[in-house]
Amino acid sequence: MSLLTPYIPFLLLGLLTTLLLSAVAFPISIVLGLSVAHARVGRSPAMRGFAKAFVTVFRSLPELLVMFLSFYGINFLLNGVGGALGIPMPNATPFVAAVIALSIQFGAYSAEILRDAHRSLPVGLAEAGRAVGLTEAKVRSRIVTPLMLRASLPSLGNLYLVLLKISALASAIGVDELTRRSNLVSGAIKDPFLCFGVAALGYLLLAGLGSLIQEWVFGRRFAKGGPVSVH
Amino acid sequence: MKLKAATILVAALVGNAFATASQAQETISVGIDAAFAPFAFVKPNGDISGYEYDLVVAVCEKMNVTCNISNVPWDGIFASLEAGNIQWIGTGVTISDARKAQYTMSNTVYRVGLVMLVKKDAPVSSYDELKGKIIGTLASTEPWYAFGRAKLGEGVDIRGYDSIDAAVLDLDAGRISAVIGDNLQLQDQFVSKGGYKFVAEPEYAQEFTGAGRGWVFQKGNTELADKVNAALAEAVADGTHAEIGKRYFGTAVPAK
Repeated sequence: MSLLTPYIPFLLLGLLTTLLLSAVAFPISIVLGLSVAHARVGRSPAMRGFAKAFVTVFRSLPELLVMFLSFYGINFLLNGVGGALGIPMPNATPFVAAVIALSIQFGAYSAEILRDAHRSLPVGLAEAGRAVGLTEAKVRSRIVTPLMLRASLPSLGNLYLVLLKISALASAIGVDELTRRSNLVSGAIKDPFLCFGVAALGYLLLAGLGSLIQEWVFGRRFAKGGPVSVH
Repeated sequence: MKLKAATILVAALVGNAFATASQAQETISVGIDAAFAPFAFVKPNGDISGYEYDLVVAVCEKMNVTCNISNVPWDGIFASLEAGNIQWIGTGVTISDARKAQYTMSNTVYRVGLVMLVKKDAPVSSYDELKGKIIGTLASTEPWYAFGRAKLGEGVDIRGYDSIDAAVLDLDAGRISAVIGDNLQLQDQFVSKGGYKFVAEPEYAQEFTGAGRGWVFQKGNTELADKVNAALAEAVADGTHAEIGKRYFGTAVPAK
């Protein structure tokens, strides 16, 4: 334990990085998921096809592979283009690449969740909106989207916890998050059980906080609006 | 007003991009996997330290360039080199023909012997007694596998691990009977702390340790390799290399 003590701030920074990574990637993935879900239930066949392809591809690929593709792929392209043009290009940092990989992939997952939520909405609500003269865009932004989000809240909370844990894969491309830092400390003090045990506590803490926030939001939204009823 | 703000933003971004570009010409980006005490590891403040790190720093000083040394996980270190994120792998890797075919390598930076580590109370005193047993080692270390096959027979079951620590954990758990590794690391981490021993004296034969350990550059980047080799020779000649060996292992490490 005494060997680990000086590394506690180092590990705490890793905990913060993990939190930051998921806190940045998750909202982006929800926005992406909403756009894809709307495209999938929209009128344009081209958009529907594109959305379906996007969801199929990124739900099928392993997260680690997408992580590697994102980091090395982006920089390979940047350096390739830079080399061809004769201008050295700045490189994507591991953090940015990890955010891109997580956002895209969890965008695909959340698109499916949100589409399901959309299916559960009573058609009458959107029709009522149209009947009172709202435009299609207004019906989507004022009626459909909030109801979709509310109906999918439990599943999205679950998805956040998955993202939190999957974000550990970012350690493979060198993001200094909790898993990578525990690995580094374990390499320095040669006590893997202790180091990864501390990391496990860190993840439990973050997941517990996430669940609390979810319960709070869930309870509050439902107390205010009440459940969606079908008549 | 919006337009003006946008112009400033674009100017800042473009200016930034060019600043990065001109900087990239003067500095060399080096990747080291610092999860490997005493070769390269992080200190509590996050700085990299260790034998290999100090060697890279010493050579950079002799070359009179700024080296931007970053901590890159071993799993992706070769991909980082190929993608151009780094120009120089500062973790010493065993020089082999297979690697030379794919990358440009430096001259020998240092040489280590190969050993098999067993538990201290294991009833093993020669390689013969390990025949037919399961052995562990670091994955992607071809010459180490060759060493295992040479000592224990072609059909030996060698399991690859992400790190030597993981292999030794499985040795403790009894899943494997011995761990193949380099004498410097295993001595420092395990034998010196008790509980483990080497089956035999370190093996330095060229067929396994080849040309020893060297640094890796992108294929064809002989310009950088030549500069690094010259600076390395200088560091060996003036005793810097030996001094760094003493700092971490209590003795100079063979440089040829």
